[in-house]
Amino acid sequence: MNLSYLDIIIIIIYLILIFYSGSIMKKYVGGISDYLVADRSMGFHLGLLSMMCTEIGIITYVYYAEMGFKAGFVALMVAFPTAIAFYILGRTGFIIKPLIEMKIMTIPEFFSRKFNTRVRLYVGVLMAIGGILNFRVFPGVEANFINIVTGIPQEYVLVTMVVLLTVVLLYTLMGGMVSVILTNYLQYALLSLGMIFITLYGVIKVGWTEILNVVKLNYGEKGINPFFPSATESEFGIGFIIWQLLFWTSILVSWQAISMRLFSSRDTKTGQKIYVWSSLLFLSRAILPVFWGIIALAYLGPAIEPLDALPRLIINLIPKGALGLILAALLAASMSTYSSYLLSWSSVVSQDLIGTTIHLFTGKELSSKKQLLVSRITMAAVMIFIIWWSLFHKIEGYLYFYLNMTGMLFIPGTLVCLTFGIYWRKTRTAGAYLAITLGALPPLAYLLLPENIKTAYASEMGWGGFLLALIGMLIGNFLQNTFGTNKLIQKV
Amino acid sequence: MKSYIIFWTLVIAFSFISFFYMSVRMLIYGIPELQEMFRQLKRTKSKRENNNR
Repeated sequence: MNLSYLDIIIIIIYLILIFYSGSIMKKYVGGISDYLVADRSMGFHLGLLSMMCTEIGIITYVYYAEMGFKAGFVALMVAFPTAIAFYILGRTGFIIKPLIEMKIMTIPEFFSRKFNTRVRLYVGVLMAIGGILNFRVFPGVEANFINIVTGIPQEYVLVTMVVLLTVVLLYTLMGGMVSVILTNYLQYALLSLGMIFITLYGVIKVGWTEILNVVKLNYGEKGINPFFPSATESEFGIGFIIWQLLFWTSILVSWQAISMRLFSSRDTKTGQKIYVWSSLLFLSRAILPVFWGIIALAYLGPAIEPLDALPRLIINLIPKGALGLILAALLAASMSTYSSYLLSWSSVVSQDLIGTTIHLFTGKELSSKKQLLVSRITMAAVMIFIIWWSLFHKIEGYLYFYLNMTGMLFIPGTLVCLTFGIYWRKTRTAGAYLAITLGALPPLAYLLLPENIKTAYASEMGWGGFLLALIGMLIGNFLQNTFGTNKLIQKV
Repeated sequence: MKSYIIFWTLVIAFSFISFFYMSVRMLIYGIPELQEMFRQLKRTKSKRENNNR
């Protein structure tokens, strides 16, 4: 066991504090809108903080550190498309402004308003599959991380993860988004402290010159110049930037965990402001962990497994007394992601799959109280499913690319449908169906193809999904406008 | 290659400083926003309960 008694006490105090504060929030929840979007009462700083907590987990650190370890400084390129996409969307209000004004709670809800309930169901199915495929790798990867850092034997690590997930589930079940926001606040305090400490301590201990020399020695110019040997041939070159720009633009408007923050914000102005400032924070969210991967390369050498680089760095670098605090910070990051993802994907299943199916068959909406009950049951079911599934996961290629591609199952189609649905009156249901279907094909191919092919063509399959979704939308619209009824979709 | 090294150094330094600054700011200003959020949720809940009666 790598933890001292002091470390264990810090972790236990943290877990009790989080569970207690999360669970007492039940008293504030009276209806489904309180539960899913905190009655749209979230202010600017809370929104920013909650957004960061949602999208930072141990897994985020692991996949970014893996990239830094494997590729050197060029992997820092991964941070820029995210920051640019956030800034542009926040400044212009492109898509996000109309979405906030519609006062919806999930993205598929937009599809029933602009197209019809069946399209909503179709998107909801893809979203639930993509989201849960994405989420399912979290417990396994993070269990491995905790195993290395704490020294807890492998057979007990999954039990540890189940305990953590159960704590998260219990308080999220009770207070929904209200619990998530409050616990996010406490978790962010620890998380940010941990990130600052690891970066600062790592640089002081290893030394900047040594870090630079190791990257030059192991990767040469390829590790420093992102456009080497050329802008088109490089792994992080033009193709990668285009794919990532499209990917993040669509993630920011269609990823349920992110858009829930948008829908929870007080008003449109607050929502947009959260996006503008998130650009700065999300730059650090990627840069700092990628940099940890580079520090790990310099401190531990290139012989270790890239996915183990970060946990091995922490266990070797961080002094014993501070390990408990750092581990609590890392657990905080993960628990905040779990709570948000559980709430997000279960809201898609409960609202867009179960709710829509009931509406299609009976023609009636569930009452707010029943929706609340369905959401809570769905959340428990999603958690059990993810723990069971995480036992069988095996990732090939970059973990980051796998996570991207699972999201890509619905993201290209959603982005194209949102853009056309909001800004072009003549958008038709056939266009939506074709855009969603064609956009899902390249990521599906990525998930099924062998590792050597998927790694070589990841960027092409990435931007290809968006291109196919666009083509699908244009063909579908043309066909329905030419051969279908003249009834245009209803304008909201 | 040297210009890239300078660029990456600046990027890392900028990210670290901005993360530090923004984190402190969010934690300080987050407290009154949490209080305001609870007030609004309480108001909405009591309004809903009054309507149900």
